[in-house]
Amino acid sequence: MKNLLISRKIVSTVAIALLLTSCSDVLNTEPITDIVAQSQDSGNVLKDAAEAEAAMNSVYAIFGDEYFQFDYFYLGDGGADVAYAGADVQEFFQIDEYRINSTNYVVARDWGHLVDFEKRCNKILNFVNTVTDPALTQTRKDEMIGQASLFRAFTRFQGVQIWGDFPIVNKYISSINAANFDQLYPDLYPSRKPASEVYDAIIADCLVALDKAPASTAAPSSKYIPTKGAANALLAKVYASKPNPDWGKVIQYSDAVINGGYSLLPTFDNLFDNAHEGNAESIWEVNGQGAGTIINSWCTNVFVGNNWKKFNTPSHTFSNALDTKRRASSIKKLPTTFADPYWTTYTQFPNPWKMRATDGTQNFYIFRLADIILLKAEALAHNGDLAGAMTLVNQIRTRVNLANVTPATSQNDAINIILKERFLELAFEGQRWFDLKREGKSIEILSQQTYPVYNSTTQITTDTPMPYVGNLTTNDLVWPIPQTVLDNNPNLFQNPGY
Amino acid sequence: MNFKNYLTLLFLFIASTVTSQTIVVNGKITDLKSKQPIAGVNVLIKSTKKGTISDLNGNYSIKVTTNEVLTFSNVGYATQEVKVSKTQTLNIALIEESNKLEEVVINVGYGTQKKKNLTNAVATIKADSFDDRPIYSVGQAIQGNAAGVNVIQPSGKPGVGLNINIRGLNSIQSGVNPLYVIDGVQTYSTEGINTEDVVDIQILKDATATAIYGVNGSSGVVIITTKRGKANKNTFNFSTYYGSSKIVKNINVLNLDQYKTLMSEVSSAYLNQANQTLYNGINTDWRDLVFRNGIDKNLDFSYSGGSEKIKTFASLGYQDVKGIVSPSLFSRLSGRLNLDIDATPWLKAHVNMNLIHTKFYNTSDNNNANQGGVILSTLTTPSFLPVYAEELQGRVLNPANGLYYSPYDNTFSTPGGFQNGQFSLNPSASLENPVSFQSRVETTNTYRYLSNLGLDITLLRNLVWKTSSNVDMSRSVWDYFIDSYRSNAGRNSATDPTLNGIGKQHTTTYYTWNFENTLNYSLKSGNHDLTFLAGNSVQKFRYHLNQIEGTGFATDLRELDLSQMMNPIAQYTYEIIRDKNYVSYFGRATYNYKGKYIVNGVFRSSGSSQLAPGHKWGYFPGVSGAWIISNEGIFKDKKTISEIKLRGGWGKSGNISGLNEYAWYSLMPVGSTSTNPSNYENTDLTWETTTDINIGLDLGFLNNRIKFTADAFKRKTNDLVRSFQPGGNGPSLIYNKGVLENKGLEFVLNTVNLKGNFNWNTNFNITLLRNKVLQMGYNPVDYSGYESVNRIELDQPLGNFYGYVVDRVNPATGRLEYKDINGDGAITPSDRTIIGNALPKYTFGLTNTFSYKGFSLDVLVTSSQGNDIFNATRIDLEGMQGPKNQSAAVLNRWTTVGQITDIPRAGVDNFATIPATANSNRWIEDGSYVRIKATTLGYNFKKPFLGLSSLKLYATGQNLVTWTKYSGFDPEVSSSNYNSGTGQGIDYGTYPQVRTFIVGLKAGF
Repeated sequence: MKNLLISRKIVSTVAIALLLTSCSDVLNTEPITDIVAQSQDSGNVLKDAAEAEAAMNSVYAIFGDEYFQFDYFYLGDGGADVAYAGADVQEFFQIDEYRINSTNYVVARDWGHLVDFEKRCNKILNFVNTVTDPALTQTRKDEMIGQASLFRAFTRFQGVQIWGDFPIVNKYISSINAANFDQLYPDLYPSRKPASEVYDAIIADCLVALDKAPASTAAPSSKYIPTKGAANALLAKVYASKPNPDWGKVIQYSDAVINGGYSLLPTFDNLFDNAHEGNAESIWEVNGQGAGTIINSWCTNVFVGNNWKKFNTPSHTFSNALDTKRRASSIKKLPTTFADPYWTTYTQFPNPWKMRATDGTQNFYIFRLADIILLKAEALAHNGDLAGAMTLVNQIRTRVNLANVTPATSQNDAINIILKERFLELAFEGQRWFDLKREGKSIEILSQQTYPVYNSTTQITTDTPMPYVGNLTTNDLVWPIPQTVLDNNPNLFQNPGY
Repeated sequence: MNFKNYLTLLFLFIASTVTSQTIVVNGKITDLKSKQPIAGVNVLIKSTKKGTISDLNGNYSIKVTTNEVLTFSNVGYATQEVKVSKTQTLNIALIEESNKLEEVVINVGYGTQKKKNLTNAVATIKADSFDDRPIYSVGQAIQGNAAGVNVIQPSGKPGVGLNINIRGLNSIQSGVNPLYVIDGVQTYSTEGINTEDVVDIQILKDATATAIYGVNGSSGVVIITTKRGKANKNTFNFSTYYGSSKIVKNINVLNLDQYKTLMSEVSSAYLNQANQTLYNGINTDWRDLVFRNGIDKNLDFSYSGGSEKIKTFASLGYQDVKGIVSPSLFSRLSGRLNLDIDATPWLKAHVNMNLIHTKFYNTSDNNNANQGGVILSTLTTPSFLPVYAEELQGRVLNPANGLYYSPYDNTFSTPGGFQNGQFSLNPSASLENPVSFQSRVETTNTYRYLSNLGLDITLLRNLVWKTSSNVDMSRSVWDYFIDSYRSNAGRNSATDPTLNGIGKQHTTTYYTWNFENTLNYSLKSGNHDLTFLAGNSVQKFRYHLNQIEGTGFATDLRELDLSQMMNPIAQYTYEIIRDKNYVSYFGRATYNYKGKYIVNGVFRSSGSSQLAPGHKWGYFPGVSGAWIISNEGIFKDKKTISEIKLRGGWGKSGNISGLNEYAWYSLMPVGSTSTNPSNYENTDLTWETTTDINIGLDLGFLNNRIKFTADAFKRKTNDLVRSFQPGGNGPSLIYNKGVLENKGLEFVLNTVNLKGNFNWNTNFNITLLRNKVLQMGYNPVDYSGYESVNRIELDQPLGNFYGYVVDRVNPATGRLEYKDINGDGAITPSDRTIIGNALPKYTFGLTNTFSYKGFSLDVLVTSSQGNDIFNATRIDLEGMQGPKNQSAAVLNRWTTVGQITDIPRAGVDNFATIPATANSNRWIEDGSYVRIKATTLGYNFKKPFLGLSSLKLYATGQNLVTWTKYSGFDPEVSSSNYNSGTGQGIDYGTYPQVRTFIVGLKAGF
């Protein structure tokens, strides 16, 4: 009994000790496998060269993202006369058929992607100069600033063309709390800046790139990053696309590209055969390197193949275009079992064929020389030099053994000829919707679109206008602000017509 | 020796000096009705509380002085008191009592309380209300049996988790799932718990009760108690059932001719497709192929018994439920050992061990036909398509390689989908048919070990230290496999020439360790009864994920074999380890004066590692009281008015269950190339807190033959945990802002309608709930759910559906026209409005139990009233936009000018920016229902044969009849299984509910 009492006393002591044990250290856990991002006010967002390079890789990875792998082409070609929606997703049919509304999820996701890209660039632009790690040289820091600036400019260029007035956020934020909320408010609930202001910001970023980005060389690796050459090409595009185009500047920057050491590849198909990556014609190119790399180029798999119904089915307009050489490099027919509302007889189904590698290594062009040559032709035409413009068009046609065009009879005629050439040259490269919009030709061209309808009972084929024909207004040429974004940000307003 | 014992001695002394003498009393205790002996009856001398218990034959023997009073008590029987005269044989017939509620002891968390002394809102569910039903989870046991608890079985898929919420949705982003305490082990999952082991389930509903569980107790606490051994009462129990299940109701789809007529209106392309020679003569009934009869099997064996020192309960259970849509399956093998050891007079040990293996084969649902949803694929795959390639007409054999090709494949380029044994391609849904989707392997094997070791140490008189350590370890292996031959998704193709199948394995281990200590002190003196509790707990959690994904498997492989994976995908192959810890201190004091006035105070402070420094601790007090009016002197006649009790309380509890382990940190995404963090750092992140007020009234009449309970409550949740995504993409901020209110009324009525040879008892409970957002967070409105159909906004309840309002189908054009709600002359997304709400106005449960001699009949009715369902399934079945087959409803579509109908014409309306398939009230349906959830007819043998001590045979039908206007498979449906405040009431290709019939037996020996 005495032992019992003693053991009870011991037990009692242990009990009290346990109850009073302070365990507050237990509450300070730190992530084990996860990586912590530091607050923007910590002075430690990019703590060393490795983190800066990782952030830069995240900028390069923008081209591996859904917007550039998929939607960029979808909008550029499917939204125009190059391709139909394909596949079987209602939201894509809505874009293709100009029935888009503000709750379309593609609209929301693309807005979101651009916001995300801008943020990736801002991380470099805000913090790369705070890195004290000597492993990161000032030269490399400047390169990073130049390259991130061009990516940011290109991102905003997408936004301003698709939506018009577009928000500008320059601040990178990783920590939000009661103390800094009011100060961050303009960046958390950004308002839409007038398009002219957005273009000013784009041009400013391009000029930073022109100053700090690496010079272009003939090496393929020079094509995979933003260089001074790419900055010139973007400046040419931007000056051509802004509300009051400056055709002189377009010519200036196009010439900087044309004289920048690039040359047309002699064989058109070589541009797309995956055996000529980083070629002499390429100015800025997305370098897919497969799964697990910075850019896994999965784009081919959504456009090419018959293992499921693909997106961006080539249009009858393009299929019927009398340019057999470029068509053979642009379209491939595959046997299918599925039907499409615009390909009502379909034992062989056309697929885009400018992307062919399905293992994630597909490269594609952001800018190539032929694009800039034809852009210069546009500028010349606008400046009244119709002959000079036609010379450039013929330069492009010569490569594919086509006869020279009939000389243009008017500025409008010249623009139409150039746009037709761009249609044949740059189909499935995500350009067409932007080209037509830049030249104010969208409604005119789209209104001519038809497709053949085959009736299996009467065995008669009739040409039928595309459903949007007769129903288009300029309101349809800018997308709506995504409804969820609009509803959650009192500083935004909707575009007319939505 | 305490005061009371002195009194007793004094009494004995006085008594013995008068007349008494010591004799031995013997007797046999039997059941009054069945005349069967009752073992284990407590026979006590009332004054000394000393006594004995009856043996297996009901016999007892006790030494007692005359004029003493003996009490005979046993659970389920009315206690009898008999004054000992000189008679030495005293046979007792006990009367079964169904309404002995005042004897019920309630587990209130870290201790128990007599139900009659309760000050808070607690519901109790006894095993007999669910143990004859084919159920696989604790949630199903609760459904319909407790007021204030809404249980939705989201689909009929066996093994699917249930949505359980107690007293409304008190959070938007945190879980609204209750906290479970299984024999003292706190957990958020009851997966694999054998309901046959369960004695009762107690649900603590208000914060005055749940405050003692500070961490995540704000959505209620469900305390599950399992069976324990009884000394000197060895019993073996065996139970089994076997049954079969069927789809309750199917959805009619178009036949081949009707389909072709429709396609001629949608697009000639789709008609041409169906008329290809390849499909000549084929007419496949997909519903017939996909739906089958399910099978329910259950076996359970248990032992209960032991000595005074060591009491044991052990059980082994096996359950196997084959679903009505292959490969759906749920099976469980579980073992339990509960030991109670009286080591020394001051030391007691409790050991619980539970080992569980569950197997879950998933049939993909809640998904459209293009993404593997078997249910929608079954309904939308046109009947002109065959299951297998060999049924196709006119395949062309290429002699060069022996492979078949499409007759249109002139260059022999694409052999996939044309070989024998391959699933024929389905051009209308990304080239797979439902049978192909069913061939995908998706299995989850979970191994769970749940164990608790507790010691009760009496330190001083009335001071008990309880210490317990428990472990809940669960390891789940999720396998996913698409073979490289049969289906389009797994096969190589021209664009993916080296795919060779898809394999994924995610191994997730949840490790929970909890160390708890409490000191319990009780003080009883005269009219004063005081108990104190003080304690602390340390909980540690670890989440460990090992994920491997890849491709490259042999052609003949049909199940995942990682050793055969040739090409792991680096981006999706990784390991995550995350820890979180909770530390809590808590206490409770209860004071009971004269059994009339009871005051109860609880307090808990909990700290969580998930929260920001300086904001980790939450403080959760609760106060409640009760006045047992019927114990006042004026109520002498207890027979008429047996109980009048008024209860009331106020309390706070916290919820952070929606947060991840490192919620306040800004973390980089896992498995992504982006270096944008996945969320923002929030140095203010803290507890979401619910403040609760509860008022209750308990009434009992006619010896408690009529019992009525009413509760009214109001709960306000402050500092809601929300998510804000500036700009609409990129990182989210997890922050505290917003207020949500739930108020409600609960009524419970239990009546013994008939008593005697024929017994009839009725239990009825009804819950009315109202929910409202009182303050929004950083977003003026929030969207969620299918195509953003759910919208959360100020002064509105959660569960709102948001969309367009249909005006008419224009008889001239056949176009669906919407109402111009904002009157701006155009139909735009600004014309959307609130078109319904998923939350019921009220829910009720009604149980009637009849018994006559050995026969018994139990009928459980459940009902939900006033809730809407967004039937998104119909968007796929009535949209008429593409080549998918449609439901028979589209036979009423507009086809001729002047036709009045509510179904528009087929095909895309090219002139409408808001398509006819947009979220609108066209898809909203009344989801109210009344359902006979379960009916059990049983027979209890009075004199079981073969030496059995008890034998019951029964037959149960589940989901027998449902009265509803809902047009889908079943009104009890939810396509989102996650337990948060949003996403209720959406039906999207959800696996249908089933009707099950079982026969079973229970035997004891």
